[in-house]
Amino acid sequence: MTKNATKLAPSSIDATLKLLADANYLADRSLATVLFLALKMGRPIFLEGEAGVGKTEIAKVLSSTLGRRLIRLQCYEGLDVGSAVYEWNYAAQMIAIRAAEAEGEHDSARIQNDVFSERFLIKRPLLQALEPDPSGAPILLIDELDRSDEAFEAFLLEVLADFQVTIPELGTIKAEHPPIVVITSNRTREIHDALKRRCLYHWVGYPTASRELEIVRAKVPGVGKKLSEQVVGFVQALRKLDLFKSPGVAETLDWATALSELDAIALDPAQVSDTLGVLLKYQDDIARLEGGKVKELLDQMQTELRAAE
Amino acid sequence: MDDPQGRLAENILYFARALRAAGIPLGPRSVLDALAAVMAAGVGTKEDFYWTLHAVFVKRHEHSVLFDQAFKIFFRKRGYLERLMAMMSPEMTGAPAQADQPQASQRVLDALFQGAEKIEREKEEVELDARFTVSDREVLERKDFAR
Repeated sequence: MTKNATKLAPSSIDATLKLLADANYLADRSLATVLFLALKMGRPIFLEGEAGVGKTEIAKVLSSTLGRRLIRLQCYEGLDVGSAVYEWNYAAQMIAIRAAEAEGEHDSARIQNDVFSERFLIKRPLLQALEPDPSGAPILLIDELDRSDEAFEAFLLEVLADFQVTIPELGTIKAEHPPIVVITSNRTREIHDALKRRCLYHWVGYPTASRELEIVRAKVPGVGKKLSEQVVGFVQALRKLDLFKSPGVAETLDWATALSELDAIALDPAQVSDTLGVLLKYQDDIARLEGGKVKELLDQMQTELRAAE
Repeated sequence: MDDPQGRLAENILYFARALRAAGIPLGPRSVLDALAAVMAAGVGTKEDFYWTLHAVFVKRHEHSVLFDQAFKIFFRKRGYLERLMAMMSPEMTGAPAQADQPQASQRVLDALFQGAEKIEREKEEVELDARFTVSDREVLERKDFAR
């Protein structure tokens, strides 16, 4: 066993919180509760929330702290069983058949049997997740499920119910130890209730100012006290505007990193306008902050920070 | 906790019924899940108890608000579970209570969901409106067709 050996699932909510904190993931107690329960009860975790609030990160943190393999299934429109579960390696099968024929093998039953063996099976993430792993049941991250089609969702429901997949030519493959499933959704559409019922649901929201400040200081070590306060204050103020896409935690971190690279000590309007592209990804949103708006927000934030002191 | 499991189960069941009345669709399975979850987490603090039930009962972000209201009203004024159980127990004892039960639980629900029911009622009104518009349109369409 290596240093990365499988660790047991945390034994309490406090232990879960600590586990996450050790991996530099500062979570609210509510999230730790859901994770703890999901691990303890062996239920999938369903995380929903805006983009960039750290949903995917949770699966990565679980994988690294528990020492499990991370298997990721990125969903997209048109995702089908062939790319999600398994596929036969058609080209290799053809070659094998030709080779067998060239060798004078004419027993078609035998050729068929050979060709539909595990050697020609391409295992996609869902099937990989059902296989035994020496380091314990893997973490299966099903990312952005809202982007897949409903047909795939229905199929997934079946897999999550029994943790087994049937391949007609090979038989049923059932997981000895079900994987730890983390499903994320950006909520571009509503996921069906039947699937959610199987899971423990949690909405990952934007962090509070104090929590976000802790996150920035933990993740961007070089950032100064004053700058980090102002960065967080400004981002929090931005989220109150009715933007097309509010900046997530990921953007806050990028921005804090960028500014500290630029040796900024405090925010000034010109620099904010220049670096706004790190925070806002849509031209309309950036346009809204043109003119005196940035300065206005900065002044407002400064008064609030002073009031808080 | 010297809590007999039965009482906890009953309270969770009642809470689930209250949530259902408030408009959160819950199957019987979620009650079992909730009980399992509370057993797994062990009821330490009110916050943990809150989020444990939240994890099982809330499946949509909008339902969080309803859950929050319901939880606060349901577990208000009751020192903690023990007291809650004491308050709930008259409804639970033996056969004679059976006749009272629907009435009593209705009363609990009424007390619980003043706010939530308003939301429900609003929802119903919206639905009614929609129905009227459709029928209006249907009438018009039929008239046009006749001419």
